[in-house]
Amino acid sequence: MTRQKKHTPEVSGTTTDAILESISDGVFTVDLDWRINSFNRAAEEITGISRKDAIGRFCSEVFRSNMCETNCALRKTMKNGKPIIGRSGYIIDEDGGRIPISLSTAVLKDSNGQVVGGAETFRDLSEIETLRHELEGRSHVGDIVSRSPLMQKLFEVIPAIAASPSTVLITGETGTGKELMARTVHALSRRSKGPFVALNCGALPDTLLESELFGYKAGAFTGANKDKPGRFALAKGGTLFLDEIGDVSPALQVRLLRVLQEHSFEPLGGTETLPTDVRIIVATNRDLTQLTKSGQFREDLYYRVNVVRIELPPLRRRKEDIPLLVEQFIAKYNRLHHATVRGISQETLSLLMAHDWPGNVRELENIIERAFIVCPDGMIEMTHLPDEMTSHGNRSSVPTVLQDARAQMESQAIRTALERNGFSRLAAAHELGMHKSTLFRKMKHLGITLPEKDGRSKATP
Amino acid sequence: MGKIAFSIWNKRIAPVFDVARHLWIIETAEGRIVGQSERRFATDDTQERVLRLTTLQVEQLICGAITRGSCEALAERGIKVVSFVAGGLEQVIQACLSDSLKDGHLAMPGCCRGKRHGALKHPCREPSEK
Repeated sequence: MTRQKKHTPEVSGTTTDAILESISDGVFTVDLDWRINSFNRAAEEITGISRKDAIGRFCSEVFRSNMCETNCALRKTMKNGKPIIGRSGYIIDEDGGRIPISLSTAVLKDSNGQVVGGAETFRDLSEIETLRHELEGRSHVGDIVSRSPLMQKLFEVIPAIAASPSTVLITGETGTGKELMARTVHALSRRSKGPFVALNCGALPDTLLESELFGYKAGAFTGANKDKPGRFALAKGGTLFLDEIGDVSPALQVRLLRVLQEHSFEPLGGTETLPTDVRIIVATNRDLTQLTKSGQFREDLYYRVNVVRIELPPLRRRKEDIPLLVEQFIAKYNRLHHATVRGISQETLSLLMAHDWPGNVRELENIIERAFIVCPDGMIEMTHLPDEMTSHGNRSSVPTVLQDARAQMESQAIRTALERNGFSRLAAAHELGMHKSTLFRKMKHLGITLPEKDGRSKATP
Repeated sequence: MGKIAFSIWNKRIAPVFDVARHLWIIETAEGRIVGQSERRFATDDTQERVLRLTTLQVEQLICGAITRGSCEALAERGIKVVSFVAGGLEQVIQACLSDSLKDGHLAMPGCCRGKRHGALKHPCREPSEK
């Protein structure tokens, strides 16, 4: 027996076929023209396509994965010779159902070392995905992730808000995810099959905004050669999201008020009144109450839009969500940039936790996206963060004096504990491991106030 | 007949509509092509894509595999969908104009036969395709 035979036992074609038929992973191979030349039993079962139908066809038309067109793993492997292991995606079955999969690729060579095609193995992840969704369900509503008590309270009421037809006002600082919340309300509503149409009212001058909202008829003004439907018409049967509502001019506020009151509108240059069939969600980062008092925002319109209110907390008040959000953004950009970032180092995460996040979740997402440019694989380290976050001198949001830093951390910890315990100071003190009088003293010193209805209210009849 | 959109990739029908980037749009009158153009999708968001087709005044979409969600969203907007079609663009356009797509000879593999797991019929498929 030769040495080679001892280490590489010969496997006959029949044996290979038997192995391929017995495994639970789908396997197919393609020739250099991307046509399938073998398709095992598990591939038949997962895709629902018989071997007879698959062989000889283009792999993309059999496999029908979200990766085929723009991000084909096998094409990449055939190009650089490197196998890809465990890439996630989905395929579409003949009933339009998505089957989540993970796949791996390899180049096939003949006995002379010539590339003759490629092989793809894939695994059905449906059961794992179902379990994962069940586990994540508690911290997810739509695409919004949070474990913060403040957001959990919102999560409890969002399904009811979504189910009602009422106008919703979403308030929150810039970057807190107002549009994402609006999309979530739409997705959970009975109108979810209809369109979600968004318009930033602050981005357009008055005349353009009016024609964008209501549309126009041919001949309404110079250049209007044909009818153009407005956003109210395009959102028919769905949801119209008007962002930066606080920036709308007084004249347009009057027109909006009429639409909200009468549920109908007239396109510019039109003579016919059209009924509206939209659910309105508006958002602003400005204080509408203040704008109403100063006369910049009509009081009657304010009461029309402020039927149901969702206040999104800034990220600095839900810092416990930072690890979860970072994880979500890493998964997102791994998918979008075809990168393989594994996570974030502990010290980098600590730095993110200490930041004040004036730009909120959007700022955090931008920082992770930026990190992907300089770190396409491995772990995100301090060096991958922008200078303004890591250089001590330029950071306005991070205190320069040690005492200030301690006060800020204490304040954050106390606020979080209070929120987590329904503003019960006794329970918060217990959680923080301090006597309640110490907590009272610290709260007074740090200027932390409780909402009108706090933990004590429960005990008071 | 109006405007018909074909979701395309490499001069063939794109394998998956939900992530396809290019559209070939033909305008027909009395069974003849009177205008054609290429358009792009800028996003994978289902509603944005449906809105794009609506603003392009597309009446019918010919595409490859499509998820149930996208198919239903298109149907809601009154866009007729002929899905799970495979083949070269020219070949599919000719089949569409001669009304022979429903014969099934340009169907994707496994889409003219028995269904998986006894699931319901795809809402967008041509009735006679089965």
